[in-house]
Amino acid sequence: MRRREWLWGLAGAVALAVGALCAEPYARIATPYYAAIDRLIAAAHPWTIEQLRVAGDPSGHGSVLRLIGEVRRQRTDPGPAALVVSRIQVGAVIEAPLVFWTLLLAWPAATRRERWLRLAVGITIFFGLEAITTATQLVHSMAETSAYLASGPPASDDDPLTLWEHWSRFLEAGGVFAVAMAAALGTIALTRAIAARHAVH
Amino acid sequence: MKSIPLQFALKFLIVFGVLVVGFESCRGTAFERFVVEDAILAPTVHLINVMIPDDHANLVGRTIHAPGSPGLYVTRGCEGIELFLMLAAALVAFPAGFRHRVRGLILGSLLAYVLGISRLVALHYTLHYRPGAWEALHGLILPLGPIVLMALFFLFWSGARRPAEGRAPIRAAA
Repeated sequence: MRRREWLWGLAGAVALAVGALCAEPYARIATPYYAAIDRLIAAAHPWTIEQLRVAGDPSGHGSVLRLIGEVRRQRTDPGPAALVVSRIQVGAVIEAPLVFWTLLLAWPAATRRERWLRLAVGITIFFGLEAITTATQLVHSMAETSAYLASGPPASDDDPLTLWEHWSRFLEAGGVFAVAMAAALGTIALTRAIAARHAVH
Repeated sequence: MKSIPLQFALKFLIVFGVLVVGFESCRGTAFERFVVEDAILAPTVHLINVMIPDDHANLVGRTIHAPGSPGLYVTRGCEGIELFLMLAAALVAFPAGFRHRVRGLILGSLLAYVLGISRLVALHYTLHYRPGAWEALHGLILPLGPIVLMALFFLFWSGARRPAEGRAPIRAAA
């Protein structure tokens, strides 16, 4: 019997069902956090976040998390040189949280205390995970626009201009899953080590 | 697996990152065009036409067209390449013998290929016949579902070497 594998399969199926049902409400709840992170990032650049909210997909298929921002050539410029609109489907927004929390909650723990510790540490790491995935995905177009304004367009579409774009492409190519999984397993390892240390003392 | 989550996660992340950067640097080359257009998109269109001949699907560049459908443009990250890269990274990161890894790579690649093409076929049908389901399917289920199935394959693969190891004393998890 492969009980462990089937239980993980069941956890995956439940996670997908939860994600399909809760993607839009989750995106709405998380929007203020993404906006705070993006405003923090924008403060260090000649960018302004004008609006970040869940809106209808222009193609008519569901909802997207939409960021509208302004990009200036210099921070002191009176007016923007470009207006940037970036969108992420709400289904993609909930991807990292689903992977992270499914792994964290379904992974076996030796004691109840370890499980509570995992939850506490997990919440902290989760905020970091959301910042480096969805929040950065939303602003990478602004970095791209800044680079475009400074040095012109790239030689081809396959030629990324900025580190932000490299990171964004990594996330799009399955990196969201990889980073969320690494964050969850890192949390599990960390809390296991803390719990073992306290058990010794 | 119980005692090595951090080690596995870090190795997986690094190897996957290297593979993604490697593949991204091939973008626009003949190799990348062969992999994406000839090995993935052309068979996908063929499969669509076999399943529903009346669809008359055809491939224009990287867009799957069919009369009455808005056209499915397969962008970077939608081709299913990440399934192969994740599989390879997971097989490298997990401690196993060479033969066991090769077996995992062959079987896993077959599964990744089937899942990648099935996903594109499903996306085409969703866009053509059930556009209302596009958000849930394109945004979450069709990207994450195949990854969940690949993860299950990996769990079966990693579990398949446990009986041989059972002869040696297993260190208790910390």
